[in-house]
Amino acid sequence: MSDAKRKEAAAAVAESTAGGDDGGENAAKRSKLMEESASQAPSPISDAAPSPQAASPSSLTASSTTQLASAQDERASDSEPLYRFRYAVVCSSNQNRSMEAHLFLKQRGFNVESYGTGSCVKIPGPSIDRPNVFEFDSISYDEMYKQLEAQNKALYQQTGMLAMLDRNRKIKRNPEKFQRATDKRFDIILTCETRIFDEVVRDLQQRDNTTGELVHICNLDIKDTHECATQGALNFVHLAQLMEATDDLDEEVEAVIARFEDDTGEELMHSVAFY
Amino acid sequence: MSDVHTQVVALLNELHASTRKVDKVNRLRDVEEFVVRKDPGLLDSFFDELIQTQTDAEPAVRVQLISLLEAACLQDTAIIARALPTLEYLLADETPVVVKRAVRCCANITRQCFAQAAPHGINRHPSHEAAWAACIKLKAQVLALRADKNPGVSSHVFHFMETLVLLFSYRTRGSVGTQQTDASLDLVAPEHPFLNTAKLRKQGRILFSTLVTSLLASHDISSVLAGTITTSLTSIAERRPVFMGPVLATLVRILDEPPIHFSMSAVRSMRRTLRAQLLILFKHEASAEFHDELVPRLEGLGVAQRDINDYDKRSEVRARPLDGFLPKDIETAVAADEAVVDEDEKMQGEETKEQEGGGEGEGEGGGEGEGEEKKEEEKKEEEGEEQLSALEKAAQEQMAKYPFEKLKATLSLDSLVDLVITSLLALPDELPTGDAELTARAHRAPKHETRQTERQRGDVREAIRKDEVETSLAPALPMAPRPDNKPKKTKPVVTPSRPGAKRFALRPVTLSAAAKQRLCMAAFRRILNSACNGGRRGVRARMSTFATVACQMLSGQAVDGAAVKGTDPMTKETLEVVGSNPVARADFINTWLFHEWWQAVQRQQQGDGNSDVGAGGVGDSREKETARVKEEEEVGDQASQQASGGGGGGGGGDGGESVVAKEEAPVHMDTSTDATTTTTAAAASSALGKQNSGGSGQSDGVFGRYDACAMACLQALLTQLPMSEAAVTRLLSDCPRVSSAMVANVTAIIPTDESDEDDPQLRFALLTLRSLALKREDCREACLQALLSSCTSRSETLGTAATSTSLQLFETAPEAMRDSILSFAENAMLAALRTTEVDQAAKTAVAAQCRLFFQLVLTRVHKFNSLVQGYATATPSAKRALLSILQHPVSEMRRREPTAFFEALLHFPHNAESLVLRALHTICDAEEAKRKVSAEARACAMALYEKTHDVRFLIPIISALTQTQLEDHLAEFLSLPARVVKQVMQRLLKPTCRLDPPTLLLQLHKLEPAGALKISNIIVAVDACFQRRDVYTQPLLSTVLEQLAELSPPPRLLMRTASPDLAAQLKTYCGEHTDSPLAKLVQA
Repeated sequence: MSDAKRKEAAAAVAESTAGGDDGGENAAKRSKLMEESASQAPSPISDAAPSPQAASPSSLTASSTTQLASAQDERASDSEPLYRFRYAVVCSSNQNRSMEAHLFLKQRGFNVESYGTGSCVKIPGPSIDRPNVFEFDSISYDEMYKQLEAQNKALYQQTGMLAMLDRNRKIKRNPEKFQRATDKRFDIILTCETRIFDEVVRDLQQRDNTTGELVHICNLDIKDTHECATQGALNFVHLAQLMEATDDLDEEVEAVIARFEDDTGEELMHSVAFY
Repeated sequence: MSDVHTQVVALLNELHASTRKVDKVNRLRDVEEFVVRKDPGLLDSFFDELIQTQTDAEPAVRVQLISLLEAACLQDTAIIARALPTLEYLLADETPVVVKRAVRCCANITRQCFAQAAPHGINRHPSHEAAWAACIKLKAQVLALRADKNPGVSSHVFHFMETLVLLFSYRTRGSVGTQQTDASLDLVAPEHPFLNTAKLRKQGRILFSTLVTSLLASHDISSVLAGTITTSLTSIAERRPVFMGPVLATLVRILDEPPIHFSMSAVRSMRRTLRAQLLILFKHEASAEFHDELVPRLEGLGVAQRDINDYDKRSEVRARPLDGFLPKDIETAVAADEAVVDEDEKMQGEETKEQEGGGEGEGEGGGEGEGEEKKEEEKKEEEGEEQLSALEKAAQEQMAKYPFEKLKATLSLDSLVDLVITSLLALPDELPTGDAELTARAHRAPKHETRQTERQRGDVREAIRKDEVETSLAPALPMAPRPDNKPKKTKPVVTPSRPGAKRFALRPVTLSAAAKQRLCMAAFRRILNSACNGGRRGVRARMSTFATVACQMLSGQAVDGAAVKGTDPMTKETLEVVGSNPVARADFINTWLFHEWWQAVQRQQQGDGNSDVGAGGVGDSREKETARVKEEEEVGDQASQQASGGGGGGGGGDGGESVVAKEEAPVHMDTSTDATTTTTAAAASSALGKQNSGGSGQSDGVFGRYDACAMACLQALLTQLPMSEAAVTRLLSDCPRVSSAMVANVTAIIPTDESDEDDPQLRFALLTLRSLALKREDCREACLQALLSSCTSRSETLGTAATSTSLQLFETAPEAMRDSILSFAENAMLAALRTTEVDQAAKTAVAAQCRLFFQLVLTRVHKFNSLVQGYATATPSAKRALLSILQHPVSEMRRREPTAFFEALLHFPHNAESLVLRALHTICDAEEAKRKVSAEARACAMALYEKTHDVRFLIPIISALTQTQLEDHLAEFLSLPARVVKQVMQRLLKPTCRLDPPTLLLQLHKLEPAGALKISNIIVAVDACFQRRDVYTQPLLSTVLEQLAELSPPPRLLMRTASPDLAAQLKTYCGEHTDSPLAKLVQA
């Protein structure tokens, strides 16, 4: 795909996903958003993957995920990458918000990874004072799923934790901590909360600058609920598409932010750092 | 030849042969793997082939080449000298991404080169010296890019400067990182032959000053660039605590006074980033003496008290103010810094040349006697001195180099204009305003927003006056008449001069009227061009200032008669500039119109003699005044409508021409794409002239100039559709007043022929009208009339599109507006129903009006009554047209509000029976098709029957009537016209009917003609029965005929049944059974 065509496509999809709802409030709205996302913003890799089943995380089967990943690998190896930038989505526990955005962006062919910045991975437990706490990088989503299932399957099904972990284990192996990924380089880091934005800025500031690559850090405040995560993921997709549609992001980032804020009504925070 | 060599040759061949970008990049990457990592010795052999790719058309390939060169240089710094020409070439590349990568490469190899060369003192290595000389050259070229228009490039340059500052300074106590990972002057050997620590340290400090001043003094710094510099400064302060004071002072300054052109979003982001950075520095031990000033700011930024308390050292360390770290006049310091940096670079370059030419030259101060002692002294000196006080000294020295005489010699008319305009950009932060609303807002809004608003909208002349600056140039600027008191004479501000500084003053200059005019026009032209031709980012704020100035100069002309007519040179000039590219000048157009409107309001105040509304009271009464102006406009519009005979919607339904269209004939729109800008400008100018000379009465004298300007701008924009769609929408949405003539011009772009439904111009015009009707109260009526009138257009495409748009408008409109839309549609529909034309076009128009009305009344069923009333008085042709479209709306009304709908049906007037009947049929048929007729429909039909005794109302519910009811009303049914009887029989013979077929046939035979019931109708009914062979089968017929034969006296119709034709028919169906009834009939 030529540069012009890629930008056109990105701009068109950005246009189609612009606007929308102010925030998910219930499951019905969430499913509606899912449908919208599936119908309005068809996955750019759909021509390679016949049926990516983009609509629902729960509907993403293991085979389709594999197919999706293999299609991306294939593209990456012998053809021009679909999108230019490398994205990282960062939330606190690398469970809900960042993984939802990871899924949405991945389904659309973006080069994306996800991380958490918290000291540990926390998943709501039987009561508010008894959360399930896991270590980053040491336990996989699959193991978490099995632990929770063994603990109280009905409860975690009801709260949506099992569905969330099921989705996560189909995307990657385990939650990752942003502060430990010092060898990774990204062009754009998307954070889901102001506190996370601060931590990312601080972490990048305190790393040894070695390569001098510029990275844009964008924050969008997203509540840590399933519905808001979906809405936030859609917003991130829209933002990514706007960014991909630029000729030179460094020059046009202010315009992109203004456009994004106009389209979604959300406030976006932006900063830059260097690797 | 080795295998690796062969493979590299093959890869290079593939690289040069391939045409795809990805292939080229991949091949180059593979080559890098071989010649840099696997066998570095090969690089020398293939270097020339590799650098041929520097001219490749693909930026990605050039970027990959830089990566290769960087990797090679980092591995062996001796290659830097060889790669120098290539890197220099790529630094001048036209693609920003290549330049950015080249700058990054330069930063990395400079750091590496320094780290390798620094420790080698006496045992100098020739390659190190050559590499360092190459780095110096690259540094000069990179630093020259710091003013690049691309913020990405300049960001990388500033990051490069951060690298240099870190390299060219000493690590001290508290420096973050280790000596191994953080190269600094500490690494430099005591007797280094070419690294002169004193000079490098000075250079580092200058570069640091440049970073600070670039952040604080730039008028149009982008948020990316500002973020980069704050990040770099924070990094410098962390690693080189000696800079902690100036860095904190800078960050605090930018926190307190963010750049005025930043959007609120950018300011928010910057504050959050600064919060993180200040917190990092707050935790640094070197910042302890500044905690007094940092803590309140961190608290203001929302940092948790716990975090602050953990590191708060206010009680332990004596506080030191941050004020002294920054020069008072940042702008002067910038000029001085840049000059010093440039000079320094020049000297460095010359020195390098000397070194290259002279071979073993030694740097200044690099003598033998200097050693560790000197280094320690420098270090202590660096820690102890006030770092940035040098900035002010340098500024004074720089100013001294340019005495007034030199400046005076360069002053010409053009340069004077430039000087005035440039000085406008450096207006003070606190601009006074006479606008009370703005002042009140300023108290509420954050400081930044206030400053931004004032800077963009503030009255420049007010600012000049308030600042009490009186120069000989002031009278040359055109001033608008001031209704209030005379300007006060005040003393000019005398800036306290520094000791030894030369006083700078201009002597009074007397200008002739012609010279003034010439100066004014030159200044105006220059300002206008600056206002209209801007770029992105921070320049917008400057453009806004220019636009404000230009508009005020224009408004200043408005006191002249020529200006009011729009024939003054400035207005002409403006229209030409705007007309040449109206889309690009949309910002300016909006500013201009706002100023014109505001001037008109002020003129009106003066005319009314409202002495209480002066300069200071304008804002207080602004809202009242706006409301009053609107009222006057409304009155004016109504008067003009009455004068033009348009009336309301009642009589205006015919035809598609709106009332407003008659007020001002819109300029014929030439939509051809090759329309030149000259014709556009001419059209704009002519429109202005027409507006002014026409005296249509639509615009009164006060707003005449505003309306003319707005019309001219709108017409200029409309000639460039569809490119100017956004600009037109913005103009109409944002401008303070939309006249009816402007709406008429929008309406005029609607194509009247049978164009495509998706015609962009058609869609744009309709959507614009809809949007205006929703958002703008001042032109709502005009827009509604134009839009709704289009619904009845003879063009089917236009009618459909307009109807659809009207419905969308109706659905999104507020309740009051819905009522007015409904009233218009109602009146238009009633007028259409009274039309006496019978041609197809008239029927289409009636159908369109009724369709629109039906769509609108779906949620207001009580309005259905007015339709029924109108139907009662409609012409037959209109009635037929109405009935033809009745089905869908009636079903919808029944579905949405059943009770109200049936209630509406019950109260129908005389002559509207057919409408009610059609409605009942529609509903009952639909219900019957699904399951059965509802009780509501049945009750309604029965009520209608009882009210009117018209049995036709029972026909739709025949399937819902009981057998007794059917038998009772059968005679009445058959009394209807023959064609209706056939319909009745069809319903009676349906399986859902409760009267079974044998009984029906018997009942038919029992009927005796009387009154309206004619024998012919009975025969029609019987024939209808016999035609249904699927119902009246052979056994059923024989049974019925037997029963008929047994009746006494035999029914009158039995004779007909016995006729030969019928006998033959019976024979066909009954076969051998025919004899028996016939025999009985003969016996009887």
